[in-house]
Amino acid sequence: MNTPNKIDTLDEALRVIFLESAKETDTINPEQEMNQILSSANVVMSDTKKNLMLEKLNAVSTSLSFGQLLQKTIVDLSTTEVVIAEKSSLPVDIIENLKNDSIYTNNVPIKLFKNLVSFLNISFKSVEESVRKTFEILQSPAVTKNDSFSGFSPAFRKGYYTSRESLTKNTPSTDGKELFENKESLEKYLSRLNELMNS
Amino acid sequence: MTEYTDIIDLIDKKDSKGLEELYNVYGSRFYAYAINKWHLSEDEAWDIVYKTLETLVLKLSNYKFESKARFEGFLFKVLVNFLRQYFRAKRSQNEGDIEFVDLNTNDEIPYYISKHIHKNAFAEYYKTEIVENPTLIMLNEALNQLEKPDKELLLLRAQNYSYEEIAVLLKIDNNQLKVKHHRAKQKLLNIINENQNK
Repeated sequence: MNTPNKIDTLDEALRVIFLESAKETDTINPEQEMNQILSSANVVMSDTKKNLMLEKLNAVSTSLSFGQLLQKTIVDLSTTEVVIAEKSSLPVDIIENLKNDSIYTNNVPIKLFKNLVSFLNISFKSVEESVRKTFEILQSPAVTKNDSFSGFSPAFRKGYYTSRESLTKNTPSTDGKELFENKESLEKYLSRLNELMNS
Repeated sequence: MTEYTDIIDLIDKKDSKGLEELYNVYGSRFYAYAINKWHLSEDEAWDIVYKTLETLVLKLSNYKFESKARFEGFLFKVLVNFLRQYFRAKRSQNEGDIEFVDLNTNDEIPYYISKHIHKNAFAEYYKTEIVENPTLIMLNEALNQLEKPDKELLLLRAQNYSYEEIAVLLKIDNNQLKVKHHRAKQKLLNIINENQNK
């Protein structure tokens, strides 16, 4: 349709509209879109690339997040969030948030976090791996503003409609991000934690 | 085909078969879609598929998918999020080599869209993901005033679906689809013109 250098203006505008409308749960019909996408199947990924992808996904899938590690350790040690909170001097709700992977671990005061992992007797290596996974979970793009995914609720379904709002939002992708929500901050936190745990 | 619930159960159990099925049912199609329809390179398509599936694996414990439609809706949104990023980045890189033209216009379509949409609107979008250009907003509004089949035809064609594929997807006759596409564009441009003259 388009040569490499000549792009149809109207088609390009329609592509932008399509990409933007997909941000809103109620402006497109993902079921129909998915049917269209799943009809594409005449390019095959090489076995090498496919295996690499599956290996990497497997590593992500099998590693524990800090929340999962915390849950497992609580069961293993037959302890409770209240006891852990007392021993680490962290509030119970922070322990709950950590258990649910709903906060960045590097947002927890480092000495209290060190108290927590020391009390639970978790090695730095295990902590480091799990903290990195929690970081990845929290960094991966949120699909909806809320945790519940309700775009398909029939009562609110608008079908194939693109709202004006979906094309006029002007929110930077970094909106709401705090200082500690970046790799550099995470690395510094882990480095300091390593020092504290080995001192 | 493996049910989406089986895939979720297997991944929950850390069984690698779940990932394989996730790739076979969804990943392989996403890969083909990114290459065929969005003209991304194999490496770019690989990245998009990996990031999409990785996001699902990471987020699986945070979501409860009550139906296949919700599960696929989640995947669709994540996929398009990454697709958008790569599309914008690729266009930004090649911006100097791109010429925006009215490829499909003739005497039947008197309203040349390139007169309304300046390439700066796209440049702004590629760099900042901000859509404030009045003409793009106006086009979106006009698109929503079109009959559903015309709108679907235009959006699918813009995504590089062939007329044959569109006929199958929309369960319509392929006969005269090219003409219908042309007329749909004409209708859209007429609506824009009418809206501008209001």
